[in-house]
Formats: sequence, structure tokens, C-alpha cells
Amino acid sequence: MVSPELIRRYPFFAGLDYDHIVKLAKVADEVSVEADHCFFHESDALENVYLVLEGAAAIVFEVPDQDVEQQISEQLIGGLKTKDITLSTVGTGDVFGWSGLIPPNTATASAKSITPCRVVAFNGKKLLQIFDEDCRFGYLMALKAAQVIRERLRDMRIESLAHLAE
Amino acid sequence: MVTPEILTAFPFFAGLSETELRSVSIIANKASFQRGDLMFREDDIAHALYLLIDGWVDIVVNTDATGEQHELVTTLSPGDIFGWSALVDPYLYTGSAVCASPVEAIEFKGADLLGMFELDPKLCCVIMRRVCQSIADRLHATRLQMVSLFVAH
Repeated sequence: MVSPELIRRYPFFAGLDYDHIVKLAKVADEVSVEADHCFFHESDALENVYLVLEGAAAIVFEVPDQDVEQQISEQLIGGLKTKDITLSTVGTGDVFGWSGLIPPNTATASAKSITPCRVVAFNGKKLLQIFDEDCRFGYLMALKAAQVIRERLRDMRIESLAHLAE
Repeated sequence: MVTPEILTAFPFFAGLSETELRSVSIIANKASFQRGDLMFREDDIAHALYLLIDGWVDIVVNTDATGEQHELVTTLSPGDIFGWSALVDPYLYTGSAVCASPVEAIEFKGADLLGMFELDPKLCCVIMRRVCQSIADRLHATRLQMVSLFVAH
């Protein structure tokens, strides 16, 4: 459990009733991690939705490292060497791991801390239960999730354009 | 006229009650397009959301400031939802939709959907979650496109 005051100040939670904030705070825990901590890997069953309080994290795709020579035998036993391609970075006030709330409830990318981070982790299963019981709340949060995803889309467009310009 | 029966053929409207389907069909309009038609342009005000019934639609995005260059993000097929920016602030389309074939679609005005949501919270929660799935699919397609850019260089 965290204090409702802790999360209320972040723009992501703007427009929610105090009751809603209290419900969210009840299913949340504050967590501190070191740099290079992996919150989750792509296609993991996603248990938590995260709000960043302090620090920065990268949303990445792990792709086969083409600069390193790889033996097929190693790849077959799961020893594929990968490198990270950063899709976007998240910092204070940003929410990530929302794909845990949308079927099939698996991570669509990996998330790793760049610096030591303090985050609030909201339990995904409990969140879904709350939304099933309170449709209006569920709708508001789905709208906010939609906005987050849309912003990620736009962030990436800007990064792709910058990359192409090089 | 769009009947509830037409809607139930699509997974997007699966599991809705008769009453709910009727509410949705009332605000639904059929729309037809020719191959090459531009259904909407990136950054236009998003008035409507679409369910693709027949044909294919390319979602393209501008890759330079002048708007001359385009990249294909994804090609949509029957059953797909697009134009979801009609429900998501700031209500501007994030890509252009170009018909890759003759197209039949069902159009929902954003204002009508939002009005329906006010009256039926349960229905709006169900639909909004499914819309989120479509947006998440688009994000995934865009990420794959971006990764292919990085890997190619």
C-alpha cells in the first residue's frame, strides 16, 4: 500500500475522484531498484503497471546482435546474444507496463532501468478486478492508457524521423 | 443501414447483448471507398472511427517535414479498427488511411460514441478496452518498423 497523496500529484492521475485514487493506492507498492534492473522482458506475463517516481528507464526491444558472430548450436540452447534497441525512455510521472491491462496481458517490450529508480508498482490483477466492479473507473483508466500508448506512438515517430535524418 | 447482425460477425463486437448491439448499430453508418481513396490524413481532426468490413487499408505516416515522403506502418484487413484517435485526446489522426483496394467500412462518429458511453458505462468500458487493443497493435507495428530502420543501418 502507498499513500494516495503520493500518486495524486502526477498528471497521469488527473481527473480521477479521490475514491479512485484511494482504490489505486491500496493495490500499489513502492519499489526501489538499481540501474540495469530488468523490470520485465518482452512477452513475459505482465503482473504490474509502473509509475516512475525518480530515475529513468528504457523501453527496449531485444534483437539478435548482428555484430557478434553467433553459433547456431548456441542459439538452439537459448544462448542467443541480443542487443537492446531503445524504443522510448520513461521518467518521473510516466507510466509503463500498461500492456498488462490489455489482453493478452503480456509485455509488448522489455523495460530496464537506466539509473537507480524509485517506482510505484500497481498489481495488475487487482487493478482489473477494480475496473470490472466500477465500469466508469475502468473506462477512465482505459482512456488514459489509450493516451499513453498514443504518446508512445508519437515519441517513436519523432525518434524514427531523427534517425532517418542522420 | 447497419444491422446488429452485421456487427456480430466481427470479434470487436463479440459478447455484447442485443440491447447493446442495437445501441451501437443505431450510430453506425456504412461507408464505401475506391482503391486509392484517402480516408483521412495524418494530423487531421479525428471525427470518426472505422471498422473495416471488406478490403485492405494502408496506414502510412509522414517521414519528413514536408509530408512528401511516406512509410507504410501496417495494412489493415477486415475486422480491424482504425481512426481510434476520434476517442483519444487530442483527437488528431496519428496516420493517414489509404485504401489499398475497394473498401467497405462502418463509420462511427466520435461524438456519437462518446455520447453513447455517457449513457452506458459497462458498454463503454468493454469497447474502450478493445479500442486500446487496436492502439496497442498499432504501437507494436510502429515499433517493428522502427527496429527495421535501426537494423538496416
